[in-house]
Order: sequence, then C-alpha cells, then structure tokens
Amino acid sequence: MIHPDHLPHTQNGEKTIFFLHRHWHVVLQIFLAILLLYLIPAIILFFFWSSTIAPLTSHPFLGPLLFLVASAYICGVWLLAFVEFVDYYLDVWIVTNKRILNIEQLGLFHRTASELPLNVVQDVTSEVKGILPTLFDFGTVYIQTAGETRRFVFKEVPHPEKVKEQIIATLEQERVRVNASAKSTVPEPLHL
Amino acid sequence: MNISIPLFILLVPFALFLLFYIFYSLFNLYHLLRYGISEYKMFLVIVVYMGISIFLFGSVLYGFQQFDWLVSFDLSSIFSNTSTHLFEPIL
Repeated sequence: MIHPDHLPHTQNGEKTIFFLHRHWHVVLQIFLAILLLYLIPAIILFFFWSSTIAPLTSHPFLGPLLFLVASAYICGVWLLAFVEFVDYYLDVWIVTNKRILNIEQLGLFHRTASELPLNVVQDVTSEVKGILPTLFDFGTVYIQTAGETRRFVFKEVPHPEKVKEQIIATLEQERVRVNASAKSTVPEPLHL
Repeated sequence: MNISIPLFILLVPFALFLLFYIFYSLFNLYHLLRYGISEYKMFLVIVVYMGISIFLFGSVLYGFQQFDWLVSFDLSSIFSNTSTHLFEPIL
C-alpha cells in the first residue's frame, strides 16, 4: 500500500506535492453504465412481467433457471463495477519535489510504474480538449524530458493547468536549491 | 427416449460462477490493498463492496430456498409446458 507520506525509496528532504487520479467523471461514467445495466433489464421485466415472465417463474424448471440467470447477472454487473473502479483507482501520478512517479494499472495482472527525476524535466504541457473537459476542467498533462520521446502522460487529470504550473514551480524551486547548494560547495578561488 | 435432468445440475455452473466471482474479487482486493493509496476512500470502497456482495449472496441463498432442487425433469416435458407465444398471456 502506498502511504502518502512514505513513498518507496524516499530521498532526503523529499516531500509529496500531490497525488493525482483521473477526474471524477470516470467514476461517474462507471456509475452510469452500471445503472443502465441494472435499469434496462428492470424496465423490460416491468413491462413484460405479467404477460410473459410471471408464468415462467412458476414453471418448476424454468423458474429456478431464470432465478439463477438473474442472480448471476446482478452479481456479474456488481463485480464489473468493482473491477472498473479498481482499474481507475490504481492509476495514480505522484509528484514530489524530487521526482515524478507514473503508476498505471493496465489490467488485473499488468501494472507499470515509472519514475522520473525532476531535474531532467524540460517541458510540461497541459491540454484541455473538448466540451466536457472544458466545462469540468480536466485534461492531459505531458511531461517531456530532453529525449525525443514523450515520457509521462497524465491522462484525464483534474485542473491540468494548475498541475502544470505546480510542477514548473516545483522544478524552479528545486533548481534554485540545487544551484544554491552547488555555489556553497565550490571552494573560493585563491588570491595569489 | 426421455432424458431426465435433475434440477440441481443447474447449480453446478452457478457455483462455478460464484467461485469465479469470489476469486476475482479477492484478486482485485489484493491489488487495492497492495498498490492502493492508504486513505479512507479506499477502505470505504472495500467495505461497501464487501457489504453489498454479502447482501447479494445472502439474497441468492434465500432465493434458493424457494425451489426444490432435488426434482428431475424430462427434457420433452420442459418445453411442452411453456407457451410458444412469448408475448401473449398464457390462458
């Protein structure tokens, strides 16, 4: 379990700036999908109950069969909701004053975790594209290093502009701190 | 030739499904506990999920009691007792 104050391999003076999950609209989508999966059969049952379904439930063979099928469906949809939520929840981006961690759950037994020192970050870009992202302020943040390929992508995170500004501010503070400590360790030139 | 099917045979695939449900849930719970962030929201989700799962299982077990699973049926008699017109009331 990741504890917010005790990340793996914590460095000296390292502080967590923020944890990021995807925007809450992902959870809302899961909720609405599950609601539809429960509502649509319920509506069908409601309209066809007395004419078709009720006589079948009293059948000594088809009644139990219908019961088992309905039970499996209800349990299966609930399990699906949980699986989708776990997939959403285990995607996390952690930004500290020293590094950026990108942890993505790609499937039940497929997880990738990447770490990027803050001092190699060259460019941070935020993108908000579309009506819903604009209204609810969520989007993508791209973290670019000096290399050619884009390293980290924060997908569907809330307040991407603020995330970008916070990362840049943290980067600047860290660079100032490193420069200050570098100057203090450089020996003074000899005056001959 | 009449083929007789005991009703409890239907419970076998359902039991397999329940086993799959339990193991898949445990895998997901394991991932949450191992890789999740230690915060109250995660524990709340786990409690809600397990609570509703227990409720569903209890409801299913209660529903089991409404049927006699030991009876057997002929395949031919199963389909002769149902209406061929699905959307018409059975007279």
